[in-house]
Amino acid sequence: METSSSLSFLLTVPLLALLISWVIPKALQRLYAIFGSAMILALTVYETSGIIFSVSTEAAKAFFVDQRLEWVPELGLSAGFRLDGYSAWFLVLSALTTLVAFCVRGVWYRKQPRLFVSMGFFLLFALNSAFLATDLITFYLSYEAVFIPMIFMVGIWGENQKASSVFRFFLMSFAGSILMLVSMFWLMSLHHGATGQWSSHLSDILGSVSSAQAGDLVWPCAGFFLAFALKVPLVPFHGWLKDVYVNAPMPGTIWMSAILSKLGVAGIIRFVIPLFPAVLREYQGILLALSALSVVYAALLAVRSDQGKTLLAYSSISHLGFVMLGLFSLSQEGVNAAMLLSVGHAVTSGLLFFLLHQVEERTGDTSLNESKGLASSFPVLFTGIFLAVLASVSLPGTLNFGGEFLVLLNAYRASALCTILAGAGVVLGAVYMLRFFQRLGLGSPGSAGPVEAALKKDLSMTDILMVALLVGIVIYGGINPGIFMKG
Amino acid sequence: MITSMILFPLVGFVINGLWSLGSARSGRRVPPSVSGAIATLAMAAAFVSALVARSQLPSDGAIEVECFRWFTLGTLAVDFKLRLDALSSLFTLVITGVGTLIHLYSISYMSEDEGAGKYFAYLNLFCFMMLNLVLGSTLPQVFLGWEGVGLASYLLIGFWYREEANVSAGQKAFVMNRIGDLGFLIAMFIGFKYSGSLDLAVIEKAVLPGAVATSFVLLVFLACTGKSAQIPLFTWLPDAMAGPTPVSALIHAATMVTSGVYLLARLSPVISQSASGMMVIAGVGAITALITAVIACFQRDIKKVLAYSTVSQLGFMFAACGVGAFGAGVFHVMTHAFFKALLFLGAGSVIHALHGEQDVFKMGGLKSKLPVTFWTFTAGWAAILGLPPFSGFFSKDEILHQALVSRSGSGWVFGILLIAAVLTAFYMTRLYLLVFFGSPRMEKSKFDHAHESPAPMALPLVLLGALSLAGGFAGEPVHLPHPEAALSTPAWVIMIVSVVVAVLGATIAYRRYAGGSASAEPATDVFRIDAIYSRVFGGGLRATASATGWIEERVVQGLIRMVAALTDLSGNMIRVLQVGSAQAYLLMMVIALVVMVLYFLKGMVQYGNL
Repeated sequence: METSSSLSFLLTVPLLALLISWVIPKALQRLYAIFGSAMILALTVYETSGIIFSVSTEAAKAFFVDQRLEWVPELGLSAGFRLDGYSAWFLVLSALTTLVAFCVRGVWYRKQPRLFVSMGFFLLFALNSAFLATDLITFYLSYEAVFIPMIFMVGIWGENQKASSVFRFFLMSFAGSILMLVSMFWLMSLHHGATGQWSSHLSDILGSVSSAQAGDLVWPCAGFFLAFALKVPLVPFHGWLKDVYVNAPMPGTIWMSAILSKLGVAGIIRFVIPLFPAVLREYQGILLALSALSVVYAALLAVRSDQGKTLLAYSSISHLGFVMLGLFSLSQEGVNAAMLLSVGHAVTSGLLFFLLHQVEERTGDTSLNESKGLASSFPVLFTGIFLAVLASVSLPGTLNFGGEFLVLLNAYRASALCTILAGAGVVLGAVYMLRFFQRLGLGSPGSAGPVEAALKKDLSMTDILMVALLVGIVIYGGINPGIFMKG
Repeated sequence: MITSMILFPLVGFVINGLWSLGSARSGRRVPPSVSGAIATLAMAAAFVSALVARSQLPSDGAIEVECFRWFTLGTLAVDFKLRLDALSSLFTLVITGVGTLIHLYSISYMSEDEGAGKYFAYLNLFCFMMLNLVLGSTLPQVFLGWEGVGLASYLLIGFWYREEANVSAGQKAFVMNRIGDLGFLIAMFIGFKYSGSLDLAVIEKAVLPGAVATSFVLLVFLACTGKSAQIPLFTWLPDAMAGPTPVSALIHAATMVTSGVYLLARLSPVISQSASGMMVIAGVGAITALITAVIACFQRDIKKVLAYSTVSQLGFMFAACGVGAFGAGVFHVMTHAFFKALLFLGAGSVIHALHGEQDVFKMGGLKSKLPVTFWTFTAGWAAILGLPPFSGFFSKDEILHQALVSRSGSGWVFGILLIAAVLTAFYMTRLYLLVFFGSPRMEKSKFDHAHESPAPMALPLVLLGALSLAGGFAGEPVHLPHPEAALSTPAWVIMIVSVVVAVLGATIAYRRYAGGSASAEPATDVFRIDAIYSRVFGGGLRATASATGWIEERVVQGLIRMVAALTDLSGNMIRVLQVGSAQAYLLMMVIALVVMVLYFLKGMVQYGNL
């Protein structure tokens, strides 16, 4: 069957790339990684083109694929995957993010580059598997597998290999996974109680859950919700994030902010909303309030950040708060808007961290305490940063505007108050992002000390291509946002 | 024609933008005259398109051009559609016409600047966005233009970005506008909730329940106070003078800042539904007109005087809208665009001649040195005072008349505007006398070297001077429904009153400043509004952010540290990671992979996929 083979293909290609990386010489690892991930991106787009380029959701549905593989049927162990309007875009995003992350130069290409590259491809495999999974156990395994490469990233190539940040990351992930696993067993036993059979597949569980009392589902819902709230993260479950983002090597930060956060979003779309509609509706007020709080709280932290990376980390939480606001407006439109904004956030935050790294490479410093006036020395680099800043503040004409606008429009129907509160984030976003740009790029040059002559080069041609690709997506999505809303 | 009107400036922006970016990377410079010529030609072509489009416009009708479907979601469908009617046509003519003249003027003005290519790109971008704003047929399209002109404004205010103060001024403008934009966004949500559409054609006819209408009107007006610099969001405009002077003329006097008046006029049927909303608009407009006219009397910087004057004149326009006389407001937008652009360009010519001097107390006696600037400035001065037959006379008189006689007008609004008119005559005459008459108060060498600007700068002055003189005879350019009259005061009475107050203000200024050697006055921050804002809002934001920071550090991070301290795992974890060799990790991964691959293979074999 042509369609289901495309699923196996999407899952196995990153593994193939991983295997090949073991025979590539160290010196060629970066080249190989960029080439490999670019190929995977192209293949992913090709394989999902039926969905992502279809004119409407209705047309896209013809290309949705459901696949279920029994493993140990007696125990209900199976593997289930589904390619649909959401997962197709998440797959494209994970391939794109991997390409961006691999493009970043740094110590990881000098110290054990082979491990770094194979970790990256392994991560891509695990991400794809998690985004496609429709079986609880499959999802759990893939979700956990994502964690393995990340912990190595932080531990081996991290800024100063701070024990505490690795530990916090571990703690966060562990706590979230345990809660989710317990909830999964809860649901599976609920299903067993109702039908006398074991199954971990979403479609089976959905059947028995729909007849269950809403009261019985509050705890499993809370378990899933907490796991994903930690992953995204949603305030007040964000405590682990700053240290991890700041201490992770830049590719790690890019992966985490652009795509790992979307695991939480995807999990909510695929599992939480279909499984627990009644529970969510009952607690909708709290969920919307938490999302709006996330937007404003993180934006305020970004306003007072004095390091570029910290500011972007908090800005990321703030924008993901908007995504959550869209999800918890609990309508098809809200979820689609959240999906659109997720794409915008993934592309923009990837681009911002990528370019911030370029600044760091050239000056060794991204503190925001005083204006550095670098824009005149690196006009192309700072044009890129400025465009990314515009996307980040959701200027109309960018992909992010459509997302934020439609999220707020739909959230307004659910709760005017939370929407207006989150709206403060629109103003605060302008405050901190313009300050970010001002401190790095504007002011009189030289105030930051002499820039090494050897480093006084603007963006290289490959970097420009990378930036142009991402900016192109942002602008194209600003004109035709419908392409990202196929759910 | 409508599409080409909007595309010309976009093409100009792309050409100049990419060219100056490319040459910046290679360290070369774009010749200012070439990039200026490209940008000016783009605008001239847009102006011709606007003229042709105007001639094709059926009376009382509209032309619509569908471009593409922008987005759909659920029941919401937003098309990208351009719509030209009498109101938007007037604005397109002003934008492209005055825009072309200011582009032309800029070629000379910016000829020495190394960033001229970038400058012209931004200027074209501004015009493109401004045309989107007035041609958009849906609220999101208007919002695209609305925020787009804000972006161009930010870029041009902070154009000389090596000066920290210029950058801060740009940021202040952007952020204060964003506060207004939030009002715009929420107004759109309300509009969509109650009318089910974001099309202007639907929304302007929507009948909203009472309280909803009022909140809709107030939110739209909040957006206008940001973009059009009205109380409470007006303090960014005087700072915006940090940008090049032609920018002040185009963006911060003639076009962008009048967007608010455009929006109110566009939505006038729905705005008129809320009497209390209208009262707020009239009140805020009138009070803004008065307060900023007072502030203008105490300024020393020639551009600051004109900036406060702009805020004050915009107040007149909003007061007109607030009393239901949207047509009079739009009329004043047009005449103000002519004479205020002229005054700013004249000021630019003076500043240019004096090599950057902006303090009116260091000018004087320039009448004979800069004859073209002087005579055209005189036309602008007469127009803003409202002396017949200059253009400002007709529109201002109409506003005063409507403020008094309209059913939603009142003696209060009329009275406040009248005082503001006296002050306008006072500060403009003060400026006029200090700059051009009396004895020179700058160093002798500076005075001797002062010379009239070259032709590309002089020509726009002359043309705008002619428009300032004759632009009012046509009468109200757009026929919007007139408000019901409650009083029958004849128009000629108001005319006489309005001329008398202008002469009164001018006379007071004459008696005080015509003495030849004016003694310098300290520039006074009369109401200290800026300082109060920065303490209350700036301080408030810092305090809130610090409080959030405290919660983050003490509560959130504190909890995490506590959990971490409870276990001793952290140290061990790191050791495990660091001690092992790469081979060991690879082995771990291989094992994990083999397990996973087996897991999939088994399933596939079972289902016959392999």
